[in-house]
Amino acid sequence: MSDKRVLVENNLAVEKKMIKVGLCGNPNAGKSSIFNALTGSHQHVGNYAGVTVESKEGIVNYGGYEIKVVDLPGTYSLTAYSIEEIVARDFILREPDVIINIIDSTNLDRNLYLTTQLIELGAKAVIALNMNDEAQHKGILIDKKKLGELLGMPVVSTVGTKGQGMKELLQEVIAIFEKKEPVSRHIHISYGNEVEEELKKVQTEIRKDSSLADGRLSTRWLSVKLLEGDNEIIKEISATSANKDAILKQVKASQAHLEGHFSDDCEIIIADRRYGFIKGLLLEVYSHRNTDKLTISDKVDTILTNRVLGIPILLGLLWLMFQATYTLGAFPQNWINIGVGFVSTFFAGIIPHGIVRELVVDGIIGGVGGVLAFLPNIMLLFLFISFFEDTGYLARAAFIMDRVMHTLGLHGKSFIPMIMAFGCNVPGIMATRTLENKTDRMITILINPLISCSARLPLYVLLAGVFFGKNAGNVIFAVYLTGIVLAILIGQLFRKTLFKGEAAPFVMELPPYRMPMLRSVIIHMWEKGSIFLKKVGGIILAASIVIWFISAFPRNIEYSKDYSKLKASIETQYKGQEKTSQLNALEVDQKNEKLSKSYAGRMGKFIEPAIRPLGFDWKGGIALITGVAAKEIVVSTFGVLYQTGAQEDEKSAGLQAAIKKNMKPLSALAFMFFTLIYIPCLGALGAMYRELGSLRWTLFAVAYSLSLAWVVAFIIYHGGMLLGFGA
Amino acid sequence: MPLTLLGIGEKARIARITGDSDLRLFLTELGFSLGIGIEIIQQTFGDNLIVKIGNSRLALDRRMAMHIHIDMLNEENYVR
Repeated sequence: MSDKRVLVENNLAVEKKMIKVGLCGNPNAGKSSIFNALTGSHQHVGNYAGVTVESKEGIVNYGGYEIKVVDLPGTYSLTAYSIEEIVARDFILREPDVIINIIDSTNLDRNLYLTTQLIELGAKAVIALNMNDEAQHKGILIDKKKLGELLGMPVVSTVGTKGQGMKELLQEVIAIFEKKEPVSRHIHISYGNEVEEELKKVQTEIRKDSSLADGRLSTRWLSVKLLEGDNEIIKEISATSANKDAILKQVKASQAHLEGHFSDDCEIIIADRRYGFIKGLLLEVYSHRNTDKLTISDKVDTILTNRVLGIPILLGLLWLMFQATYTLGAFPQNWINIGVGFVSTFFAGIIPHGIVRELVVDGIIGGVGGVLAFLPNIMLLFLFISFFEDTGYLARAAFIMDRVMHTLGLHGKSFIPMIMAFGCNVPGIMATRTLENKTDRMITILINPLISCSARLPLYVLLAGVFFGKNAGNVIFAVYLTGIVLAILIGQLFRKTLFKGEAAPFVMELPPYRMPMLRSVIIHMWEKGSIFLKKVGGIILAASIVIWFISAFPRNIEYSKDYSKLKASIETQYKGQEKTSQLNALEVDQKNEKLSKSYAGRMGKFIEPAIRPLGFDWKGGIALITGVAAKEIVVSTFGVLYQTGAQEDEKSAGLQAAIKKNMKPLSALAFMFFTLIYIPCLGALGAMYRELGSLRWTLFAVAYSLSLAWVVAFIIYHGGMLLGFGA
Repeated sequence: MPLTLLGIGEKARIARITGDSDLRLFLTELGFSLGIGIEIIQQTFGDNLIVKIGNSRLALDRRMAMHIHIDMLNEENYVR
């Protein structure tokens, strides 16, 4: 393409050429900071087709191109060891025009291992030597130019957190795309004579199959993968190749030959050669001054991961998080409540009495507004989680907790999905992918919904605020803590009964502590929080309307008393103040009877016998049924039910007052715990089904959580009665 | 000797990694390669470790540490 055309495209904004770019790199190499620096706010979170590894995509316009950037899962290699690796590999094989390989400059040797595999794949890539500032600070010197020549990939220094080097990166992407980059070439990593000979033999067999030798995939790469015993590739070859018998036979023979010769697994022999290549490379391009000193990060670690202080500090930070979520969130929550009240009055003023007004004011504004008020709490919670994640503390939390988790039959890495679950169980369940062992994953997924997500927070805030005043923060903390304790106990139970055996050994990389950029914390918070807002607009709006409908219909009810006659007799008997209060009392009676005879009332009454022993009435029953769609709906159901049941003048006092009249503290407490434990919401169930890969286990999760919730709520309600808190 | 015998601040070189090939490969990918220097940064109850390899910090439990065998460096080469 000529420069002239680029210019024209820039000026006239005619349809732009698209370049698809994949970001790949090790975990902690700073992928997400580069992604954010490249795409800014023009991004969205989605799923890969078929698999459910979260992917982020963003668009950046540069040099006349529309560059679509896809953030691939962080991996250490491209074997078929984990789902992330398979997803990243499939993407690199099929989709992108150019790869940006992000490398942590302070850990060049380990990060280059992934690069060797990109080379074998024949990927067209540019290297982003990230965290260049930290490398310089640590006295590391890297000869960029030479590194680029040796790898056959251009190299750019970047500091993702400061947005440095992004322009250069995009320029290289375009140069590679336009095939104008002089450094870009395909190099071979030599595996030594013995291995090379066997590779040739396998390659010869592969080439006999014309469908494999069409240039779509490098036959050399296929040969290497086959020798490594890569399951995915073997599966594909045996499923599709006409020459599969000869190929697989040659692979077996070659493996046997090499393993006999080197007396080690083929996989290890090949990996060793790759490390040999990297070592040779580093001798030429890398030098450093004193890297032996302990860093500030290490000094921080001596305190935060201290054997005595580690766990108390962790608990303290979590306590702080919940306290702040509640107390700081109260201010904006007030403003939102006032705003919702204003909107409600406004619509009540312009819409005439009747069904439409009921729908808008009681149904939509009452339901959605009730949930919206908790947006500040949820955003604050996500803010804290993102902060812990971005500083590097979350990885330490896994380490600190490993010992405890292990004695309980769980794995240290199970702790991260549990912390994520405080925000939302869906990412929590998805985060279990970092667990390599299948039974560890199963257990961690099954217990994840016991960790209280932010969607359940609104109910706690509401009920604790109404009934426990100054102690609300502590009560909420206790609910959360119970969730954790139950998760651990149930996990242990499952380990001892359903999934026998020991948890896999623990090893993980700890990124250095970093002061995160405010911008990136905000972006991460927004990514998670916007899911909540979308729910408010979608499923919660729909549910509010449905709940309003089932609580407002049927319209023609046979009342037990003749209310209009009673009303008339009050009108004649009483005067003034007395008359008003008598009329009000009558109206409350009528509305309550109307509600109890509505569809919702009948449903609630139907399940009431089952929940009566827990101290819940039929209104609670409806809230719990609707809450399965999404846990926020428990509160919006209360919003709708009590708005409908309440008198006009009570509306201003709000939901809190209505609930205080209708519930006792002890049953409210039992209700909070029931909501904590019972059936996971539809979103979480969907995620569980995908990750467990089994309907049976998903149904098992429903059954066990429901029974556990009932038992716990029963103990709280009746235990509390026995202790004399029943009043 | 296994890595578990090293104390905080002590340095050594990785001599041997045991276990099946998946585990060895996995450890190597994380940076536990033969001949590389390793230092103990932190030790918790039950011998869970944070180690320093090059510029990265890795956390591992006792069972994983048992798979990693080390040679001590000379007395004068390390600082307690």
